[in-house]
Amino acid sequence: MYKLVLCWRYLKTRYLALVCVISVMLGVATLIVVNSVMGGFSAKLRDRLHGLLSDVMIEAYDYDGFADPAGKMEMIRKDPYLASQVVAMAPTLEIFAMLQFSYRDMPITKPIRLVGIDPADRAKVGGFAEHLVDPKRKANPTFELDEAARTRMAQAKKPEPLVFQPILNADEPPPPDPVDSRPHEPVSAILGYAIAHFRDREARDEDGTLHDRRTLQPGDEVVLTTVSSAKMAPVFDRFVIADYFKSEMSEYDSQYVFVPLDHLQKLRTMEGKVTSIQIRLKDFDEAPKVVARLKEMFRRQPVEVQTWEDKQGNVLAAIRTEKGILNILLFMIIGVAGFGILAIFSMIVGEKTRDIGILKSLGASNWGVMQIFLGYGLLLGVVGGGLGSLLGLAITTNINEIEHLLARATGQDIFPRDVYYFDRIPTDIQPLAVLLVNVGAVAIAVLFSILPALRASLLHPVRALRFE
Amino acid sequence: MQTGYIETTSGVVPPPILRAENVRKTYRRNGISTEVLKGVDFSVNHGEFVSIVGASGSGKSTLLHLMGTLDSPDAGAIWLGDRRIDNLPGRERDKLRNGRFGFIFQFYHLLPELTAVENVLAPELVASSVWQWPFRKKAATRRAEELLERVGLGHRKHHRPREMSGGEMQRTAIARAIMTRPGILFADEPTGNLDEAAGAEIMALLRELNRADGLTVLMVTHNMEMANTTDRIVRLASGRIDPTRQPVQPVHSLSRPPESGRMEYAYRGVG
Repeated sequence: MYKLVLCWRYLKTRYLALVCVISVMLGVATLIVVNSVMGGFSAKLRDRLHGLLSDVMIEAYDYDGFADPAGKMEMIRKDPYLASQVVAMAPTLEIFAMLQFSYRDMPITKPIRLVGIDPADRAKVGGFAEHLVDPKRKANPTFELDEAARTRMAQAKKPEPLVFQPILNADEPPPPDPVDSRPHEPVSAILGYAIAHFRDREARDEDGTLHDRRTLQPGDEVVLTTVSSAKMAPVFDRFVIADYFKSEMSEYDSQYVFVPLDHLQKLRTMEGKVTSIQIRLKDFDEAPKVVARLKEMFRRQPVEVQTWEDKQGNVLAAIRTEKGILNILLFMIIGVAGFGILAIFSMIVGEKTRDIGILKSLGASNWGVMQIFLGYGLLLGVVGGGLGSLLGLAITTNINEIEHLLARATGQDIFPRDVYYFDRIPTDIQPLAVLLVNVGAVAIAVLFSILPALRASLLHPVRALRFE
Repeated sequence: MQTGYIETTSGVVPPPILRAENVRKTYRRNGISTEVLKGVDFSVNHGEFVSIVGASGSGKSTLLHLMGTLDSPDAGAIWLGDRRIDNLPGRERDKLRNGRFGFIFQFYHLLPELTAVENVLAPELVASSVWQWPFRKKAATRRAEELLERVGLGHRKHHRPREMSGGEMQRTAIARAIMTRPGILFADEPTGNLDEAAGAEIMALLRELNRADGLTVLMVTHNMEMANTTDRIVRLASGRIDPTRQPVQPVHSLSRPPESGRMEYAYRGVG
């Protein structure tokens, strides 16, 4: 019982111990904040990385795509296991392209990724409709122009006559070369948000909020140039902007342009062909089995089957590695706190030498004396860890407010909102991580108190009593 | 087991309770050996108040520490009744010091973080586990408070050592030493740091415990005046019992059984 009484009294009366508590507390709080913020970023990034990609995809090896996506989807629907796992499928045609438009009479050309989709199908697969900017389109994804866009299009200055890509009928054989064009109404497109906007660092509100400048309005025309399938000959067409796609993942928002699948197939003279089939699963945990089944089903076809995690494997692995290394580095902070405990405990043992002699004269065993200091370390770890957890959770919960205050006080942007397309610092508090950090901190506190505790326990009672 | 008194021609002689047998002790420091005790034979009888006197460095404190199991002799043996205790395992020695022996020191050695009553409770705290304590706490606290009352510190229960005078601290230390009803009290220069009046009070208290409660007291002192009030004085000189001057003053008859009916500190055997 004396161990408990003395541990508690030492904690209450020794201000040096407070230093240990504070160092453990700061270490734990830092780890929790960094972990939660990194967790938030990585969860958001993971979400975004997954965003456009479906759970599983069947992809062609090259831009020529593969034929008969409808037949393949039918095969999947007929397979009992796959039919039970697959929620939705969407054939997609993806190709690189150049986008041209004029902004303030200045021609601008951007490299983009052109994606042909059926908006309704693609929406069912997920990661598309929810990112559309127009709220009406979120519920009913379509390439239809709204009234304002139509008006703007009608009023727009007609561009110089362009050469139009000929659109062939399905029963006609593909021409050897791009043929003469004939005029047609431009097809609409959904543009990545960052293609049509840029963050203007000069245009700030009084409270420091950044604003985006829009370079292309719905109803504006752009020209997309890509290549045809067989001959790799350049093909191009006019498109009119219907809406924006804003996933908050700059890689997607600055590159992706969605157009109707059938039009892109015609433009590229690859009717009936797609480059991938996007598949959404009921339960992603089943993905490895589904992939194995699909691989088996299409083993003779020139396609590759993978999950979105396989496809983004390198990025996901990089995030994991980064988080792991950061955690190790940060744990060294608690290690430093551990050395603090070692130093301070050694001082306390020195200071308490006589008390140790007294306790031994009263019949306290070596192990009992050791337990006092081990218990003391444990208590410091628990109190420091508990306070650190409270502090860490408080900071994490209010990180955006703290960031605002700091930014205002220092005049420095701590979280530049023009780098990320989200306005708040994302956080993700993982109870398991908080627990592990606490367990680690307590373990380090106990570990570093072993040596001083051992020294105390081995003190000779007579020498301890005579110590001055 | 020795519990009774032995009839001799000179009266009733109590049995020896603690005995040192040819005890030797050498300290080594920085390669230099100092032989402090060079073969000491010495015993303390049950209910006796014995003082060990001698010059500084004569080995009197060392002898006290060896007999109280705070240290181990290099050679020889220490006997508690008929049980040899110098070679007991650490755990057994801890138990002896907790339950059978009480110690007081020149510098009181109270735990500064604890109040007077908590200091008195300390041996009981050492003896009890966390689980036993709730059951023992009430009785132990009552006894600790009674002991403080007995040593005249009923009003100081909740004071910390730094708030007390030397005499008060030593009285608290005495209360702590007898908390677990030990058979033997070891006192290492108990009045060495006190003024005359406080020293006399402490001696009176020890004498009362010895007379009234039958507590065996072994005291080391260099103060002959204090030593003269004890039953027997043993002189140590150069690590040996001085044979020329033994016994110095058989003030009280060894045939004296404890005066009062209170036998709570009487020798309880060593089983």
